[in-house]
Amino acid sequence: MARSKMGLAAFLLLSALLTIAPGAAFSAAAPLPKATQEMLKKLRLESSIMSGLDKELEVPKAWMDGARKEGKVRVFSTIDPPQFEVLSAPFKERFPFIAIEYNRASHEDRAIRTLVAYKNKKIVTDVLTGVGGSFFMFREAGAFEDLRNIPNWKNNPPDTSDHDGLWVGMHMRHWCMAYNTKQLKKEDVPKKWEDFLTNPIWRNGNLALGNRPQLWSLQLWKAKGEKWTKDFLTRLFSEVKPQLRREGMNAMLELLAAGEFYGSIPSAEYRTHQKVLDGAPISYTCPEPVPVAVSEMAVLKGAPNINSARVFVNWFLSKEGQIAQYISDFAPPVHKDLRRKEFLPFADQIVGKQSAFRDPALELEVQPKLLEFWDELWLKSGGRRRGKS
Amino acid sequence: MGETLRLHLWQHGIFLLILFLVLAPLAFLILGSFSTARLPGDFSLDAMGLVNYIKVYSDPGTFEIFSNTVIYVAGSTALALALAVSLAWLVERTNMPGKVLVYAGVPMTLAVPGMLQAMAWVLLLSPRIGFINQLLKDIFGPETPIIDVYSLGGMVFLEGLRLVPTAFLMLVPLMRSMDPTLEEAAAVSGARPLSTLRKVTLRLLAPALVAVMIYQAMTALEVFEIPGILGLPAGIYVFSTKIYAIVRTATFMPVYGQANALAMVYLFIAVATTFFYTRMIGRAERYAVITGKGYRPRQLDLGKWKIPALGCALLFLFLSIVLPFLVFLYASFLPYLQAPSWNVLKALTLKNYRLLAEYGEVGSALKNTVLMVGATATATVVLSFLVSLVVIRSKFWGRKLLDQMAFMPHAIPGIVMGIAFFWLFLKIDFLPLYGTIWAISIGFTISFLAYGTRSMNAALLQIHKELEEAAYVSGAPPWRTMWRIFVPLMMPTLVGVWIWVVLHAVRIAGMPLMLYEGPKNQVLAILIWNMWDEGYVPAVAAIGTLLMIVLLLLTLAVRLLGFRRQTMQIGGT
Repeated sequence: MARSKMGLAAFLLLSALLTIAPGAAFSAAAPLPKATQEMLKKLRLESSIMSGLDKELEVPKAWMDGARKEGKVRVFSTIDPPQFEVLSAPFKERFPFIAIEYNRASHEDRAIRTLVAYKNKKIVTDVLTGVGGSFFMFREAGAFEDLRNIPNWKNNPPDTSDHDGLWVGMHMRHWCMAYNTKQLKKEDVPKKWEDFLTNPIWRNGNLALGNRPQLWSLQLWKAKGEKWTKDFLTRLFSEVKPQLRREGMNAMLELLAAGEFYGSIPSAEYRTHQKVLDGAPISYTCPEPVPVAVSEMAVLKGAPNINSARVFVNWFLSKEGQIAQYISDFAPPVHKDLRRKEFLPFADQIVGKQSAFRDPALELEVQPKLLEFWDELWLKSGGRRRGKS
Repeated sequence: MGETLRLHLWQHGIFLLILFLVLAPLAFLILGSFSTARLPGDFSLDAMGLVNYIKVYSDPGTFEIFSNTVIYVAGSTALALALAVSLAWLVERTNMPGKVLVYAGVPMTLAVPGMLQAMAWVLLLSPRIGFINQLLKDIFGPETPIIDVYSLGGMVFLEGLRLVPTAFLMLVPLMRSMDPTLEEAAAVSGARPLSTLRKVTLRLLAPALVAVMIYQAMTALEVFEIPGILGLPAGIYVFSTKIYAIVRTATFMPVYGQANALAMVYLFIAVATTFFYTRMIGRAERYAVITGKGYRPRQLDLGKWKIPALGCALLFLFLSIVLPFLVFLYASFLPYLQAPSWNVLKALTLKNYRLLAEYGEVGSALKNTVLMVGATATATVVLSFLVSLVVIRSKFWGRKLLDQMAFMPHAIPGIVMGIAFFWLFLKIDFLPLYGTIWAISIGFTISFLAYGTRSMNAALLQIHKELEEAAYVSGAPPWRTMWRIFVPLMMPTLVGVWIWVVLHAVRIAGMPLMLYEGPKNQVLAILIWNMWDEGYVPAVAAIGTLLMIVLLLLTLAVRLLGFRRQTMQIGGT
């Protein structure tokens, strides 16, 4: 009897140990910030997804000491301020001594005016994101820090960072098409890019093009070749005669929801998803090949809060930063361990399809040729000049 | 002796300050137009040439801009004059009922910023999604021709509406005090009322009308917001928007010198128009319609046209003030942009107003706006008062030049002034002004100085020298005389100018867009402009609705303060 009691006790003890073992292994690490715990709960994710986070967040002591002295970091990005509040909540808990001065800024404010100021020896931000087509000017001006010493640099898959370390990818983007579900029938939703040329529904101004060919045509060039892309674009402009819009991509989604046109190219999955959650009658589709890109995050050379900026960028590239970003605005993470379906809005439209990725080499080699070709088509068709003077 | 020296010192101080603030930016504007460097920061006297002028003026597009500008300015001025003359005539020279509504309502339209008015009309008349166009299609079928607000016609229509209140305020006193003898003679001779209006009344008013017309053309020439909202999306440029487009590119580094080169001809046209205007005003006796004879203007009996006339007047108020406000109010409750319907009414939300509270940028833009507008209004009042004191009350050698300097910025379009100050603040980098709200404040203060000094000059002329002399005899120092005599007596003018500046500084986007740097230096006008451009339409509607309410209250305050008189003299666009 006593032996059986002892056996039962041993069994219970063993069971208890086995039950709590995984948690105990993780609980040895620092507890997660409350904001992070809430995020995991909201996404119904196990805390084990954060394994290795402590290691990811380790930075040189000099950076932390410097950050404590600086006390703040300035960030220019495209994320809406309420979304950034959500995104930065774990960071604020972890690094309460670094205040974030966040500003949402248009591309012109982020890229052009920041560079104009930089060339006049005025550094108006520490961290800058989404410089896109203007990167070459920053490179010429030597305006960006080398970020290859950021510990989490290695978390990004190959080709999602600049080879010279001047920017690091912060999230993925799939630049496809959003459409108005009230105006476009299911059978008219395009499966291939050529469908825009063959289906007459897209004519008469029912398709809208934004003036950002580098977000999607560049990848088509890579996947299908120069000739195919040039032929496709020429026919798209001359036969389909789409509306040529000067607005930003978000504004185009607003117009799409209002019914200004049936489809909008290029549209990103995360913004479309946000509008769908607002109740807008729009959806998203990706003709093959799916144009994939990564958005850039950079730190200005000579930034007065350079240590805080490094700590921030490192945190942003960690699993915690990437999941926080996803929960704030649905941007798919770039972190190699988080490239999963549950972090991808409209995954059914993307996963399993042939994709074409915009790598840094493509930007440097093909983008100038594409822009020149595109500009000519755009201007001939009555679009506004991209701003080249 | 010491007192006299101090007096001379501050007179010279004011003179030099105004001289610097007016001439220094213009000097940079001119020099910059010859700079071959791409950015102001790379400016050097060794890199000068005519390349910017050649590039800009050899472009056929520049002539299209010139032609667009002429059509836009002439069209909107003509429309505004036609409407303003009709309204002023109806309220002053006819027995139309409900005049009080028109008297009170027309000046209130000044409270709706042009930018918001343009945005509201986009929501109404955008080719495919405009509420009115959709309604027309619903009623008359999909083939119904649409009204496209993104056109020169749309710009003319809207700017025409926007110019009416100022012209109305200028014309009402003229209509009121006209000698009716000739009209009575015409009536006695059997002329019909409309014929009398055309052949007598309007001819009597012709010189004054020309002056009002030139003033309105100057205003239309410099306005940026309406061509910016309606013209830019359609690629229809006028001078102000083209300069903006050169400087505010999205992908490539702008060539600032080209913007300067284009600004030079724009500046020349604006200065020439102002010169013409001041010359006309200078020959004031030619426009005299008030004589020493006692009379009471005759009121025409409209008969059966009374109600239609009132209807037309109210239609103007509806289009100018009620409709834009209602459109914004409606859009501010939308989850996303959509035409009115029963289904939409069920989905209305307060989300956009909540967003304003959460949106950090709105809070900082609001704070920046309050600071910028408060500083601008106060600086304009103080500086105008001091300039006027020197001009009107002193024997300072440079007082006439000072007066001319203070008036000169009135001729310079805001966008040109903005680019001129942009260069100045970049160059004087020992002062941390570049890109800040204080840069915007200084730019505005100089721009509004003309209005401030005209008002102050008029008010100071009404204060007899006896009071000043009595204070001097009693041993009061100049500052005490200023504080105890001038300030209390001029209080209505001081407050009036202050509110006038607030009303204008809060709504103008052109100059701030040229001068601000970075999101943390945004003021409300910039925030609204940027959010609209980026598609946050319902959120813009929420900000616009609140802004319109505040501006309507402020305009009402101006009316209650009895500031109408000064507005009539100078014009309150």
